[in-house]
Amino acid sequence: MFRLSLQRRMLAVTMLTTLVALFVALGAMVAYDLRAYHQGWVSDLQTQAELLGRSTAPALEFDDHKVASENLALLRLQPKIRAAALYGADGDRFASYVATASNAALPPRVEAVGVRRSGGDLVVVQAIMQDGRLIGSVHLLAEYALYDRVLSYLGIAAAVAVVALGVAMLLSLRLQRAVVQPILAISDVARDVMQRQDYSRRAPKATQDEVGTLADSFNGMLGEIERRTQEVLLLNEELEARVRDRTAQLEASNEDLRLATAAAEKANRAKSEFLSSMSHELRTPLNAIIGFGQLLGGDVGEAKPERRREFVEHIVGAGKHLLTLINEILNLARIEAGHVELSLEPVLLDEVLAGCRQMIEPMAAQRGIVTQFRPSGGCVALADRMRLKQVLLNLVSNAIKYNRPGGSVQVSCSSPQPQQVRIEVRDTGRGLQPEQVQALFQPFNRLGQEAGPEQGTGIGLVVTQRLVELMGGQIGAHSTPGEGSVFWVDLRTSELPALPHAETDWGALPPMAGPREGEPPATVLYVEDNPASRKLVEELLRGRHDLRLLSATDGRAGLEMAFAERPDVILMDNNMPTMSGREAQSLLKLDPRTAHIPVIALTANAMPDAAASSLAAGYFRYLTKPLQPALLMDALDSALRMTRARRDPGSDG
Amino acid sequence: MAAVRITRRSLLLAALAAAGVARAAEDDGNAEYQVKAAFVCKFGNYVDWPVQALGATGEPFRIGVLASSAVMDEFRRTAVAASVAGHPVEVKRLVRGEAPEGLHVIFVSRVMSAQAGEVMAAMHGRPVLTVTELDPGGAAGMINFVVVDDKVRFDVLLASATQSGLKISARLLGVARRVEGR
Repeated sequence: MFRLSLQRRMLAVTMLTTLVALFVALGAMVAYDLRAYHQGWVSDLQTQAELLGRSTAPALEFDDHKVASENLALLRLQPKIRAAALYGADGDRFASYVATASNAALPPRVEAVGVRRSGGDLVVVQAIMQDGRLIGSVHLLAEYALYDRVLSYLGIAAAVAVVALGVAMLLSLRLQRAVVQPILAISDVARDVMQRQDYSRRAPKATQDEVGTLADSFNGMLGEIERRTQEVLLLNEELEARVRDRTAQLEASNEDLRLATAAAEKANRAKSEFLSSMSHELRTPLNAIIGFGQLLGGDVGEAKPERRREFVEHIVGAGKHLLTLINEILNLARIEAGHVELSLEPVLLDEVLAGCRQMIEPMAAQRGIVTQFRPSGGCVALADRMRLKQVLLNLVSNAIKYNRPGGSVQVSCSSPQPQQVRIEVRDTGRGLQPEQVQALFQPFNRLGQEAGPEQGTGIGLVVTQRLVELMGGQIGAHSTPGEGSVFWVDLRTSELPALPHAETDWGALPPMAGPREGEPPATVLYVEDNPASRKLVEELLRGRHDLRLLSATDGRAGLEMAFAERPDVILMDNNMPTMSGREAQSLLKLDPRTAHIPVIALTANAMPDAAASSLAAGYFRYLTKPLQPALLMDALDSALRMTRARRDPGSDG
Repeated sequence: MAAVRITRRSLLLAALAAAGVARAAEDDGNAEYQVKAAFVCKFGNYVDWPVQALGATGEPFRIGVLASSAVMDEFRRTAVAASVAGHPVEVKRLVRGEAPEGLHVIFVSRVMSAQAGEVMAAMHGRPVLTVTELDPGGAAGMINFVVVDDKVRFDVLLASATQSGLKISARLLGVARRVEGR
């Protein structure tokens, strides 16, 4: 289209120009020619009339019609003159001539002298003078071929126009190729670029004129577009790469999230299971306590003293079991919450094993189990001394408890791999099925021992496993049913030599302080809302005659009583109505009258951080429920000693 | 044109005569001589006169007429309106025996034909156009009137004119009935 249109337009311009020039030229020529023809013809006819007048003058003068007619008849040689007449001086027609095949009519009387047109004819009337006298007139009627001429000129003009236009067209077609070709080349390239989006195409520059400049500009634009397209492509690629990266990251994080969700769900499920198991485990001893307690309450009068003691023993046993259970659960909770701090150090295994043996021997001897502790040969493990001991005690006590009568327990060390030490505890029990081995380290799973004679919580092995893992070790078991089981613990060895450790005697309690003679009884204020707890403490201190016990039922009452009585020691519960133990303690600490009185926390909150923060707040001791009488006595004595020492700096402290 | 009208009238008269109506010979003669007088006055225009023959401008072109008084009158009337090469025409009656001097044309009427020979002889060799109305042969002048079909025509005798040093125009010869000595 563009090609056709441009070429056509140029062709049209050429044709139109040619046509206009042609018509102007032809028109001018024709006009000139017609004018020349007219003038020439009129002049010819006038000459003819003059000649005729001259030649026919004698005929007129001498009245010779014949001669005049003969003279006129000569006009047949000029076929364009269609008729002629002579008129005498009196104006009458003297002689006439009419060309053959002409029907021209001649006027009977002479007409005015001059030249005029009559239809398609030209009429010339001229006077004949002889020696200054008018002797007659000549009347010539001639063809006036102007219209024919015009027609023939039009024909010629048409023919010339056709030929000229044809030539102009050929020339134009030939010449415009030179002009249009470069533009068409550019247009071709432009179309190509649009269709194929190929910006690397360039228009050829054929000439140095405006078209050349156009080609240059076009090429420049193409170059710019190409450059920008490249940039856009590069940016797109970068963007795509980034999107891919982000997608991959997203997928990865989704996967992580999925795993985390799965883990969380699993943990949640485990926790739910744990809670339901724990609830069950807690109900069991409570059942015994409540049941026997009701029996005691109902049958006080009738039951024999032996049966009552048996009931009490059941209650105490169940309570102890409950305590153990709660302690172990707390232990596990602390481990799970990450609140256990380990201090890893090189530990000489022989030392730890010796400590274990010392603690376990009475139990083994009581049950008739032979224990055999093989020396490790100076193995040093990287471990927390206390936790390692706890782990080994747990394993060895399990091995003793679930052994067969007259069985044996063997503890040995080995080094299966460099940088590693293995401690094995081998028993001669009934052994475990493989599925039982798999379920070993799940909480509250007692592997069919629930109804057995041995009391257990099912948490010990879980705690043991967590501890071993915290120390960077591994724990495992393999068993042969009917022969026995082997529990092993793998620990990293230490390059550093182990330091000899002085065993702290945790179990040994200072002797209970007796009442001092000659001194007034010391005052102890117990702030506690729970009457049962108050009763328990009253009973415990009943035997201490050196002590006088006061009680308050909440923090505010305790505070008032402390200001009033100025006790030597205060025992403070925490969760109480009106005012908590912590608030009361801080107020006591602020008051100069009571700031010096030692306050011993006596609370059910057994969490270690609570203990630590309480001690930091100024508590003297932190005792947890259920109350251990020995610890209470110890704490009271220590507090009293401190009070006395403050009161009497001179005496022994 | 007087000549033509005269001719018409003469034709009419001729027709009447042919019809047998008697008419006076004088009338008949008057119509004919009207035409002839007009012709004679015009002949001068169709002759190449010698350089000195016509004289200076303004000098009259003289026509000598040897005829009756009626004819003479006719000539006089015609001459008033005529001119030859710009010269006024003057008609002079020739008297017998009188030497015709300074004449350019001499007309001898039929009535005076007896004297024609004498006049011709006298004019022989002189540049004077002689016009007669004689029958063929005899002492005819250079131009001799004849009446053909009741129309006045004339013959031209070129030889005598040439001898007289006069050159009669070919245009005049073209309207002559007959040209002798060509």
